[in-house]
Amino acid sequence: MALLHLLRLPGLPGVLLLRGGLAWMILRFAAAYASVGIGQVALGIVVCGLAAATVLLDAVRRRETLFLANLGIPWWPVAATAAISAGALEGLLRAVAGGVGG
Amino acid sequence: MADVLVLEADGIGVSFGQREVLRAAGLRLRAGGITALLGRNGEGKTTLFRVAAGLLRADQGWIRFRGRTVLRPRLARLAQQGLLYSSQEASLAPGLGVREHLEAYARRWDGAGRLNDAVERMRLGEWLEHRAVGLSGGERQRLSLALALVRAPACLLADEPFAGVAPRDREDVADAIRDLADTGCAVAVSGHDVDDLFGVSDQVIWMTAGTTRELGTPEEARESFEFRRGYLGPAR
Repeated sequence: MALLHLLRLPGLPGVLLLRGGLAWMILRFAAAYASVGIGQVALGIVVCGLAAATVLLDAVRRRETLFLANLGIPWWPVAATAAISAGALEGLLRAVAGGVGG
Repeated sequence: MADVLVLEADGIGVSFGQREVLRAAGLRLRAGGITALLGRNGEGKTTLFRVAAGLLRADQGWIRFRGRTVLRPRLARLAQQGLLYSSQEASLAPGLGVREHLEAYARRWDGAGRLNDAVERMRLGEWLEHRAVGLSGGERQRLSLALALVRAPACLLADEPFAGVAPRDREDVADAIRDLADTGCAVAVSGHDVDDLFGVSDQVIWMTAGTTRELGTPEEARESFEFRRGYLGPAR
């Protein structure tokens, strides 16, 4: 319910989705550059989790979590919203990689 | 209505390391009442508000909100029950626009019918397309008050609502606070501006050395020898 309340707000959900996607891209490039040696599925989960955590910390820094708290929305939907876009991009990458590989 | 306790905090103690910031501090806010919280810088006004709003965990004490003891206060949960914590630093998201702030409150709290009135009363019309980060201190205060008018909360904790507000806008801020109280909202306002705070409040609490002292009405507070000596100074 709290996630729905956040997604219905004007402005902020789009910004959080964008930040989640951006964080995912940076982390994915960093992982590829560093040749992180774990399985692709595990790497995808770690990258999405880190992207969500990064966006959450950034929202705390920008005091957006306080703004949302006054709207009755706790911190976790912020991370969840960022994870949605990171997860979607990760899924897209897996699909494209699977198509190319298969 | 004025006898209904909306927010009650008692025996609140907070320490940051070795420094004891709050010591057996308390706050009792009644429906329709306006409580002024005065004290010198560093005496713990904001800390007490942050504890009451669930933004800071107290080491001691308890909080009751709308008749229920809140064991683990969290602002998001208290906000769902009618609390609004308002400060120019805490209640705004700097990157969002003024219109987005107002529409978010209107959408979340069914305040669409109050939105235009709030914008007009706080004279925010020309700032609607600006981002909160670009507003001056006084404009941010007016936006915070406009959000409170849209929210129509059961309890408002307004941290220094007169800080940075130009003299010609102070009456607007005071009127907004009075109107909120008239709807039954329990209001607490903190700050240093004695004339503004006394003009708007019906109860005065003095914070000194991390603890609170209820002084009664503003008239009774002015007659308190210790308050005059410890806070107002000899000129008053």
